[in-house]
Amino acid sequence: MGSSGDTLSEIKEVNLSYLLLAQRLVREDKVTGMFRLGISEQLADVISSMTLAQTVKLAAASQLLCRFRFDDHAILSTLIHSSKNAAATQSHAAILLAGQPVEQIG
Amino acid sequence: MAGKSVVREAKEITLAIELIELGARLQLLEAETNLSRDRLIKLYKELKGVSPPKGMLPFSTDWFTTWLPNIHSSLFYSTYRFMVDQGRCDSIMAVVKAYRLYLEQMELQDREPVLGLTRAWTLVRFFDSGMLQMTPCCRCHGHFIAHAHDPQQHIVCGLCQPPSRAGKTRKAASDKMLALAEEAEEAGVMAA
Repeated sequence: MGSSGDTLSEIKEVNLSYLLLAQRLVREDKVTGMFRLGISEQLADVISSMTLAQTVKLAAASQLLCRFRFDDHAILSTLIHSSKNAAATQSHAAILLAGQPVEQIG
Repeated sequence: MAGKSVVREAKEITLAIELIELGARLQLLEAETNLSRDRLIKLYKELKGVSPPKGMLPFSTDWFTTWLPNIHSSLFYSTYRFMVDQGRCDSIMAVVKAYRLYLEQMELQDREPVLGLTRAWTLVRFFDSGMLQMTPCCRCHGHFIAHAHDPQQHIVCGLCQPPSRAGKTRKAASDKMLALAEEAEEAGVMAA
């Protein structure tokens, strides 16, 4: 029970941190925030309009709210297994993320 | 000359200042604002302490297809496309936002930016006039800059398959690639 409780509270914490960061990013500079998060404008609007109470409620889930953006296993393994220096891997990851389609509602 | 808006002028000056600070050449400023050449030169001198450099802008597309410039430019252009397609930014604001993100990425990687603002802006114009295209890498599915009408199938990008010399001695290699790119460009200018 203890360790599962720890895991749940970690998930809640990550969810809350993610939502608060996402809100700050889209409120500071909407388009740049959308780019960093990889989300559509509609989604950015909903996230930025959430109240703190709504945010806290939403974060209290047993599953993570943010999605892993390298969701193609072949691409992910190309990225991590190629024997490149760290900077090249970072550039590569940045190019792949920049060119991805955004997360949408619906 | 009727209806000259002070607010619009103030906005244009703000934009010009931002562009100059990011490294814009005079031609870019003239194209993107309605401020007079004299005012732009004055603004440039005030901000930079020197006169704006003279001479023509680089106009060869070849530079963007050489190894290191291709990686940097592809990152910039993908970001630019996001700003236009998803963020509905107008072109010059998309250039500014994408360029700031590009500089941030270079700082993160502790690398010198290879792509200057004016060249980034030229890149967008090359795409607008259909001289360049984005081609997907068949391994990583990332999008990379290529000449228009180049084959689109079975292309492997410069990051999945770096040229043998690339990154051996990082600084030397990047200097060399840059020198080669400049040479190619000068040859292009001579030929034109």
